[in-house]
Amino acid sequence: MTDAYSRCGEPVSIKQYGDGPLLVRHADVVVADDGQEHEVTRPVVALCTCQRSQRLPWCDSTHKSVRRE
Amino acid sequence: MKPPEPRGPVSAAVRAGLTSAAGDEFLSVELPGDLDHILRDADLQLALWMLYEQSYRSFEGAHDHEWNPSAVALRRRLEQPFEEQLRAATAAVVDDALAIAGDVVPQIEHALAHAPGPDLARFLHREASREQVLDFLAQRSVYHRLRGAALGHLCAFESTSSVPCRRIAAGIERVGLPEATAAYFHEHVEADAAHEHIVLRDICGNFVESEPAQRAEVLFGVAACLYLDGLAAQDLLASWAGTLGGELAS
Repeated sequence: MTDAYSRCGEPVSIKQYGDGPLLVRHADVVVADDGQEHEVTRPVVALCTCQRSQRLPWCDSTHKSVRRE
Repeated sequence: MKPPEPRGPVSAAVRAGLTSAAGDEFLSVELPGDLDHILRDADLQLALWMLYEQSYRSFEGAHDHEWNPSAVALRRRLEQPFEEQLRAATAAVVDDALAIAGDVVPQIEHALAHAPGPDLARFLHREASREQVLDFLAQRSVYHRLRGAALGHLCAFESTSSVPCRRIAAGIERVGLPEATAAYFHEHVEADAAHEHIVLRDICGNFVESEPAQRAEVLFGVAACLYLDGLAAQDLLASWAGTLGGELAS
């Protein structure tokens, strides 16, 4: 399971949107399954839940192209 | 920002009006008798955009004519046929979406899945020449005004960004343009993968829940964005193929 935490104290929120990605708010770091830490540079980031992204752990909306074709 | 180069008599008159103290030029503007092609008329669209822009950042050397009655009257004469034609062109898409049961989210998703026009991003990704990529970069523009429709427009804009941006960035890299040019599109792949869900569910979904009467307006904004993007994509691809014009195929 991917993990996300904040260094500045503001609580991290994680929300699933339909069958799309997980949206993570207020995180500073996202820890992927392999233990690698990914720095967060945006207030909200979308995490891939289908493993088809070419930019893991981030969602790049590949799921939309795959579903449609 | 400098006022843009006019694209015809109407945008030339608007530019002259904006940069004069009295603004008498707004009164004497003569519009074509037939405004049936205002969606594609660069002269009229540029004139309308300049009239709107003075309410945002305005132009170097422009005087304040935001509430000049003749400027406002001219704006109405342009935006009314523009809006009417946009509503007529998108009415079928809005009706189809409204026929789907449930809240506005699946209705918007239906409209997004049936976007008209060719896939410009796919062409930029695989085929476009360096000149065509540069041409595309010079062409981008966005329309704004009506409240519910503006939210729908934003939703379609964000929801059709992530996947095309990935293709466009790849196309920019393929033709060997500087990294900074592709960086803009790369940024939007990841950022808009999040934004599209926020706009669709948090903004449009909640907005229609609290203001049910705005549902069709939101869908109009979605359909208008897709229609104009489709029209722009078709015309840009046609200009590269040397066959400009024609109705937008769905």
